[in-house]
Amino acid sequence: MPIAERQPRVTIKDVARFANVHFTTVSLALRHHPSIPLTTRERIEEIAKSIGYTPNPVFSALTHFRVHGRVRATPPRVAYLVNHQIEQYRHEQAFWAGAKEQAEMLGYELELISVSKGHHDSKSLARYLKGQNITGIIIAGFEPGLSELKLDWDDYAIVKINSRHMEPPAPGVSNDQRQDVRIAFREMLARGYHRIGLAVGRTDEESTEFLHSAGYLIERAAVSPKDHIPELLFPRQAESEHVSKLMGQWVRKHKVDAVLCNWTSIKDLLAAANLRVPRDIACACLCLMDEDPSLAGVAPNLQMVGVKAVSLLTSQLKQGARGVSEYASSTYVRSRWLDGASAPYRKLALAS
Amino acid sequence: MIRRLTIGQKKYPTMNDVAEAVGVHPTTVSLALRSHPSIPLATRARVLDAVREIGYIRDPLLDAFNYHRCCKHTSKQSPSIAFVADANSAPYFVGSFYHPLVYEGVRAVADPQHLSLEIFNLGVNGLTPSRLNTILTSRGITGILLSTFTLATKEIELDWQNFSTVKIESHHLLPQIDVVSNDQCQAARLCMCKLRQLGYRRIGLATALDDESRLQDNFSTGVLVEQAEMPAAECVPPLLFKRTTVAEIASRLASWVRENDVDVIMTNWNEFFREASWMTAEGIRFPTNPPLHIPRDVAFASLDAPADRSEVAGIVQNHRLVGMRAMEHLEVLVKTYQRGTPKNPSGTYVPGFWRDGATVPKKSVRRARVQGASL
Repeated sequence: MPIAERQPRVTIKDVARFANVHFTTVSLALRHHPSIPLTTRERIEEIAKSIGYTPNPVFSALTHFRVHGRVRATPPRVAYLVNHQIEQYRHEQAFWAGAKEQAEMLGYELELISVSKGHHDSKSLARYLKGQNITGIIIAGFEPGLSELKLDWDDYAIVKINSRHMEPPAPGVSNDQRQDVRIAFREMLARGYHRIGLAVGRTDEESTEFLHSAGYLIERAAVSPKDHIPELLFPRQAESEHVSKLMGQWVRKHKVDAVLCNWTSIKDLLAAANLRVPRDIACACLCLMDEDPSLAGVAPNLQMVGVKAVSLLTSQLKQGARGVSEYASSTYVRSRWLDGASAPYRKLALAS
Repeated sequence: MIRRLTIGQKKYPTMNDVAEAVGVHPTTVSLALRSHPSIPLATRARVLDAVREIGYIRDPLLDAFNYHRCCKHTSKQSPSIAFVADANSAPYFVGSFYHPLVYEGVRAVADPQHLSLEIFNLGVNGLTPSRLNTILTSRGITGILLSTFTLATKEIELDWQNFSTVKIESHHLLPQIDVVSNDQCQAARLCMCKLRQLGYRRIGLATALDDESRLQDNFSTGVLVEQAEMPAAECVPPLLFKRTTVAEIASRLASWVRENDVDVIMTNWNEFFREASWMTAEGIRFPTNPPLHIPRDVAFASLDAPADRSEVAGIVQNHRLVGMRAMEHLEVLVKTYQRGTPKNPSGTYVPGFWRDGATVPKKSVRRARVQGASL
């Protein structure tokens, strides 16, 4: 539901009206105060549940302040959900680092929670989030094929990092693969390459609704049709040996002179196909993780992706937005081009 | 002032503790934590060290409480956001429902936080960028929303390092800063899918060249992505026309429709529905030679279906949400002192949704050939 049309928050007074008791009774009952008879308490709990009352964390905290004379109980927490170990993936660590820093900047505590074997399943996660009064979640690294996530989405403000393929529809943040391909294509053209081909994994394309392809197709439309190279989409779960072979065939068949690829191992893939970079072919990486003088390409700012995700989520939390977005926005953070020896200016390459 | 603590109660570190440890005023700590430019880097580093050591964390509860409190009370003084509009773009949006909706979305986010909005029309009454710069600086306004600009404005010169800025729609406008816009690529893709489901097989995109440059070719991109999966016989080359009179454009459109055997026009141009003399009982009649009837000769799907014309089928864009996202984004930038032009600008895209209408009647088709292909 777009936040514009959200219902006003259900308060303790609404519960009181339904239960026909004073609102302080509701408050006491929900905190299991011994002065409230058990039957009354159960009745009130049932009503609270049926009309969707949940305590407002902000006011709970203020009450805490009044009672205990200090502001802070705990900072509001936001959950950062993944379904696998993120330590082994540098890009996921970068998302997490950016998100964590921004959360601290805005005064939230970000908690990394794993939904996987040996950790939480959806059911225990829901219990945990409820117990901890966590209402904001970032669905971060969810690899397809591993544990899935199913929560009562209406209880949460949700933002996703990547993960476009999965439920629920929610605002998402990722790096700007469409613009990145466009940047790389233009840089290659400027360096004198004509037969520029895109080689990306099919899984990546399917999970991003063909963002790389979109950037490639629009740039390709601006060059002469005789230089239109069909994209190479590697099959799902292809080993690099197989990819390398496919790439070699594709380069030779279509006389590709510059490859744009989202795999960081692009130079090795070409080398394994007996293609020397940059002598036989130029290449640019579409996801440069490090500055590397030998490899040209676009370097994403993955921390910024994390930063934007948290910013968006805190805005939603503050406005009281909850649940699935009927019209989920997508935010893309643009990368920067970095020069490298794998994509020299054509004339210079010929001279040498 | 040190609060006397009751036994067993842990004292939570406050900003005052940090200030005391570093030997600065608490307000300095506050500014340093939000990376305010007036605080030297070295001081900020010292403050951050102390913060870490003491374990101070900013209190978002008070922050959130302020939000709730502000919702209920009018405050006397409130920070302002400048909503900068372009005098040149006015003719593009005359009678348009677009600007008010975006603005409404912006207000929906700004008002509860008591951020007041001031509208500045660049180019009106001698308001130059440098004059605007002076006004904003002297009023202490640090947040700017740049509304839609035409291609005539390529760059705006302000002291960008002093402002947090978010652009609405104008991708072409320099400097490169965060943009929020409708998802034109998604609009084109969704529109094509729906039209194919309704039985159309010669779907043609028609739009103005300058619209495409302003929107980084996003309509064409969407069409290309969809066409990549379609049989070549069903791929119609887009018509990108120069902005001239509606009558001239209609005549180009009509010949393009006939040459390419287009069965449905897909366009962001609603101007054809604003010519009263073209309206007939059956729909629209383009006064071309020979006349072109919508929907009898060709169907018509708008990529920005107007709210006031329910007979026009197409994509309803979510302008209000664009305004909301832009304001939310700006609020965080202002609050965290993210001034100037970012190294990695972002683009936020808000999707639209399909609406049926009389201009796109369901087509009776021989289905056999396309079974399964229509999504």
